Amino acid sequence: MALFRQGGAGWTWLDSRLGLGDIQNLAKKKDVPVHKHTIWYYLGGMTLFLFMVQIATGILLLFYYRPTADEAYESVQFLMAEVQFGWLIRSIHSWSANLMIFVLFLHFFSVMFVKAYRRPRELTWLSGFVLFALALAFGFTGYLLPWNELAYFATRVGTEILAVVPLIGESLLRVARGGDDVTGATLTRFYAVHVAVLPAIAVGMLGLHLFLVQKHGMSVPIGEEQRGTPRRSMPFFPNFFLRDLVGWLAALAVLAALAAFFPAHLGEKADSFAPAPAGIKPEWYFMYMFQTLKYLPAHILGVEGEVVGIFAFAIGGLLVFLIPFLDRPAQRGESSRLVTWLLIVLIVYILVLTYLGYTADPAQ
Amino acid sequence: MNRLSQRVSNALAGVRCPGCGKFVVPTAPPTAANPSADATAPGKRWSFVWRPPSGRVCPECEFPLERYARRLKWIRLMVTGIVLVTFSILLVVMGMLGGGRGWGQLLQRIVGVTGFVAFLVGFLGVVVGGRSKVE
Repeated sequence: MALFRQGGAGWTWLDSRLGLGDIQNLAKKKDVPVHKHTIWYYLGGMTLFLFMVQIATGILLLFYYRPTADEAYESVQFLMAEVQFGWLIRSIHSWSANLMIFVLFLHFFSVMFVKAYRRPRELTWLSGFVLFALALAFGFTGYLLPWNELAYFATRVGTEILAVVPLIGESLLRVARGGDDVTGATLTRFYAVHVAVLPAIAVGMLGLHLFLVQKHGMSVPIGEEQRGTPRRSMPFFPNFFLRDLVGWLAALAVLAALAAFFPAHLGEKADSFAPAPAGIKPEWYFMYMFQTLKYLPAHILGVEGEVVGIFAFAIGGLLVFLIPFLDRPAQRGESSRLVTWLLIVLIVYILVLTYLGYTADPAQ
Repeated sequence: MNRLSQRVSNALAGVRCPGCGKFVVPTAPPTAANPSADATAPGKRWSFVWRPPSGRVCPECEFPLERYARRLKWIRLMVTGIVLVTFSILLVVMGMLGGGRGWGQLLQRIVGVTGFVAFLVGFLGVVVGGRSKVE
């Protein structure tokens, strides 16, 4: 191994071609602020780790999956029943998707709480928000792929939301579905988007996000900045990186336990002629929106309640997206209590509506 | 007693079917001489893309469970080992960061050794118990 030690022949050969010395200097210079909110810095790395698990298991699933209405369900069934450890790989893929979105939610809210979107990190926030939206799109498109009954009807309900967009809604719906209804054409489209379009955009966006995180470093909360005491920090390599690895190991253990003890089910094959089964529900991360739409009255000020609800969510999403430009006190380095309270209300709202989505009487 | 022993044996031999979600004891697949009760029902019979299912199936939905059921318990034991070893590593790290000694160190060793044994037995079970029978 002396060959690849600093100054060895292997190191010198690679250094002259890749500039290893520069990378090493950069790694030595990089440090992470230490304060009572440092724990939140680990969530981004954990999301990245779960995304890598998604890529690895997704590639393995691709070896067997067939994206047609006639073969999709059977190929997943074959994978689960006949392929060595196929059910485990599928379960890990499914659980890591859920865990990734859960950790992403935590990352998203923690960044908002510590106002890490302040100058000069506006672009880091915007790229992160796009990555969050991409993760939800990954979840929505991936849900249909096993072509089972639940996914089929949930996708039918989910895609109908597109129709409420004024003027172009119907066209959008047809483009998304590849026709008037959810069919094999929809499955092929969702597959293409899930395995080609979204990964391509996500990798580009992830590159930009990581570059910006490297460029600006970790944000220090306003309270810590105002304290004015000398700031403590730890080197990224190896101190923070090793802590990150321990977090990844813990995430891997949780993931393995969930996949082995609660394997992903397949259910019945989708049948477009069958009546929709009772209790159709979206994935848990869309549940609060789904439940809100159920509670809205048929008409609000002469406009369809569902349309009002969807527009309210769209406007809410846009406001959160633009928060670095709207939260003026935070930009001035002052604590913005209004944003913090709105955030707390939003979290409580999401939790309560999600709970109701799973417990309320579906007939209501 | 018979009923209890039957229950224990069913619990050990049973598995939650990934097809219908019910807890079942896998049974022999239907044959031409002994066809399934609703073999003609759409979406009930499995049509495999590459080859027909082999071995035991779910008595409720005929989901092929041979391979799935054979390895499941060993994999669960192995994963339990991984979780325990991870927990033990976390205890070590917490001990290193906190500088603590005493019962934490003892707990870490017990959890670590138990986890390692579980992992090893599970791994051997997966390798030996999961091998296909000669057909």
